Amino acid sequence: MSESNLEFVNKCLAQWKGEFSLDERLKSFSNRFDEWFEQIPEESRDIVKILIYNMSYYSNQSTNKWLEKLHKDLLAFQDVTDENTIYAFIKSKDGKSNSSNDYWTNYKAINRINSNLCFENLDLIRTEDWAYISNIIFIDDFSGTGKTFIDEIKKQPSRYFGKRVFFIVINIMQLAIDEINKFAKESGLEIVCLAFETQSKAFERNLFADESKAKANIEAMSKGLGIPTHHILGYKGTESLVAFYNNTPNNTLGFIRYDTENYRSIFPRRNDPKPSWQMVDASKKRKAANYNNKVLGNKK
Amino acid sequence: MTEYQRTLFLIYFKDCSEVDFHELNLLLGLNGNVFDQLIREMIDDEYIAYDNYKLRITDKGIRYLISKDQIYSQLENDDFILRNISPNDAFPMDKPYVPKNFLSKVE
Repeated sequence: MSESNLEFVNKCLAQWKGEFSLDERLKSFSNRFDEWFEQIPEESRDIVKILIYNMSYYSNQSTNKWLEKLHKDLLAFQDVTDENTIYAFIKSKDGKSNSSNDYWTNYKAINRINSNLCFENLDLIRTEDWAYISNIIFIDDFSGTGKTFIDEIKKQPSRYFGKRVFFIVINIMQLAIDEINKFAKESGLEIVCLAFETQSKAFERNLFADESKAKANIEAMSKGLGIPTHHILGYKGTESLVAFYNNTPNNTLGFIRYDTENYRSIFPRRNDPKPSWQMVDASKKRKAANYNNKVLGNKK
Repeated sequence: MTEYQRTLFLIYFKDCSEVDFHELNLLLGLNGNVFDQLIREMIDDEYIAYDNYKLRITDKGIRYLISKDQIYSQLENDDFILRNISPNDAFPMDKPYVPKNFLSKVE
C-alpha cells in the first residue's frame, strides 16, 4: 500500500473503530483498499477520499453501546415505564428477516426489555388494551427519508392519537427528521426522534469548496463504473454516508456499496442468494416484457 | 428449546468471532420471536453474555459444549466435501441397487 493510502486508511480506521477493536468489515476495508481505490478514476480520488473519511461506520460493539445509551435517553423522558410502554419493530415490506432485525434483537437483549412489552405486529394488541399504552417505541438502525416509519404509522394513525411515539435510530438523515416532523404536525401526532447521530446529505455538508462540482464528478464517475442512475446518490437521492457492521443502507452513495460486473465496492450491501422460487416472478416479468416488446414492435 | 438447538447455537458462538443474528437465525430456522426468546434465555442462563458490548460465549457455555462432547464440533468441516450429483452419471431411479457381494451375504 502506498504511504498516502496507508495514512488515509489508518485515519479512517482510527475514527471508525473508536474504543473497540477492528471488526471483519474494517479489516476487509484495510486489506482491500488499494485494490478498490485503483478502480476509482484519478480525477475523482480526492473527492472520494473526503467522502469516505466523512462516512459514519458502526461496528457491532459501537451499535450496542449506542442502543444502550439511546434506551437510557428514552427512560429520561417523563412517564416512560413498563406499565405504559410498548416496543415495536418495523418489519420489511416483504416480511423477510433482514439486517435491521439484529438491532431489534440487540436492543431488547442489551436493555433487558420485558418480552411482554415487545411486538412485531401491533395488530395483535387487543383494542381494549390500547387504553393502557401511552408510549410506543419503534426501533431501527437507520432512517434516510423517514418513509418506512411514516408508512408504518399511516397503517393505523388513529391508534397513536393522544400517545407518544418514539422513533429510536442509530443514525438518521436530517431529511428524515424533517419529513417525520412535517407528518406529525399534519396528523396531529406526538412523535419524538431519538438518534445517536444526525447527518445531512453528502453534498450539503460543506465538505467541498464547490459542492455541485464535486457531486457532478461523483455522478459521472459512478456512471462510468456502471452504477445504475437511481443508485448513484442513494435511494431517493438521500446522499447518505453510513455503513454498519452487517450491511450498508441503500441510501448510501452508490459507489460505496454497489457492485457491478466490472466494479467491486468497498462496503457492499449484503445480498443473500435468492432461492429459485423467489426468482420465478422476475423471470416471468422478463419473459412477459420480452413478449410484449416483440408484439408491440411488430404492430408498429 | 431443544438440546440440539442450544448446542448448535453455542457452537456458532464458539466458532464465529463476529456473531451475525441474521445468519444464526438462518442456521437455526426459527421465527423471529422464538429466536429473540432464545437469545434472552441463553443470556439469562449465562451461556452467553455481553463483554464490552459484544455478545460472547461464556465459560459456562464452553463447559456445556464439553459436557456434550461438542467442544471440537465445527460449523464447517473441510474434511467433508459435498459433491454435486450429475443426473447423467447418477444411478437410475428405476433400477434396484444391489450392494456388493449381496448374494454371498444372503447365502
